[in-house]
Amino acid sequence: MHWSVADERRDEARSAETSRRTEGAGEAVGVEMPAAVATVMQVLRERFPHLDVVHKEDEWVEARVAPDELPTVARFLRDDARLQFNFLSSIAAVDYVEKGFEVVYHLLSLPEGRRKLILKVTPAGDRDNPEVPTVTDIWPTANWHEREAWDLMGIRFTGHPDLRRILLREDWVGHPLRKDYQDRRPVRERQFKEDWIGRSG
Amino acid sequence: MGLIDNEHVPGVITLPLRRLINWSRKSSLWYLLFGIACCAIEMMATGASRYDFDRFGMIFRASPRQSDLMIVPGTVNEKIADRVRTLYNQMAEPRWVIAMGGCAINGGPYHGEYNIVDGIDKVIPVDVYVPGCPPRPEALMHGVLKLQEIIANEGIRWEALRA
Repeated sequence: MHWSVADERRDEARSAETSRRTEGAGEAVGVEMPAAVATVMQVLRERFPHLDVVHKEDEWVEARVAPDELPTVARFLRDDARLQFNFLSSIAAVDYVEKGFEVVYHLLSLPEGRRKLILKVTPAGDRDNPEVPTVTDIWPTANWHEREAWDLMGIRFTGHPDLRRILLREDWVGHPLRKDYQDRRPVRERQFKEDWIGRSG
Repeated sequence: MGLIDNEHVPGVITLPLRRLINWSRKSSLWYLLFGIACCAIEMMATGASRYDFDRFGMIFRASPRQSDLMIVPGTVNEKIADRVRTLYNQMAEPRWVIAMGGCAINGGPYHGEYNIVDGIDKVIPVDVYVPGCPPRPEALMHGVLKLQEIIANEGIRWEALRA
């Protein structure tokens, strides 16, 4: 509600200014963003023409890689002077049940922070034995990430120097983050002090 | 002297040995320096100067061999459960346990999760349960006072003392 013509005019002026600002900001981001994205996509497509490289949102470029090709692609991503993906931010494993598993690598280029890449790998092998080659020799930080993915999701990383469980007990059965995981732990009974006096258990 | 001769001597009190022993036990509850999760932060706050466990004669010991009380502050997962049981076994009797916070009582917010033991009383016997997520220092102190009540009324295992 406007109380006077002057108020109305002032409000119009304000809203016009706001919209101009947002447009400007949008353009600025729009100009900056594809620069990093475009470099990554261009370099990747140039070196691996058969790769499925897409840009979905923000500054993240997504590439789908076959498992046997992963070490080659990973080494290139780290060593190429235009990309320099020297930081493996995380490894995630996803269970899509019917579509099987997927291993997702988040890569970051520390020299150019906006250069970001998501690598998606569908493991070879069946549900009992999904296999992906290790990237520990390329990014040493992958060691524990891969152990975690093995521990909780049961992805077997071939060539890993020490693929043991990292979070759960050594004698754990199964991989609990799988969608079909069944809890088969024996039931623990409540303990009463009378049973413990004078002994240890 | 004392009650036997029906005579009052200044500076001398007469009481059953059971009460004397229990009084000394409840007045110097040394607890194990031991924390599992976020409740441990609250336990540290209770032990520090503002809330001051020392006034109950409670100081932490870094060895289970010298501890009377184990406060279990936090989520007990399958991996730590064995360690907690080992530590409890290493404590000399008499020994007491306080389950601090929802997780130690029955799993709390993690109840039924794949790696969680639903309550420390499924591993070792518990004397006092202190609810909260996490309990405030006042709540923990209240739990300690409750434990002191329990200790004051406990029986003594004389055969264990003789041995």
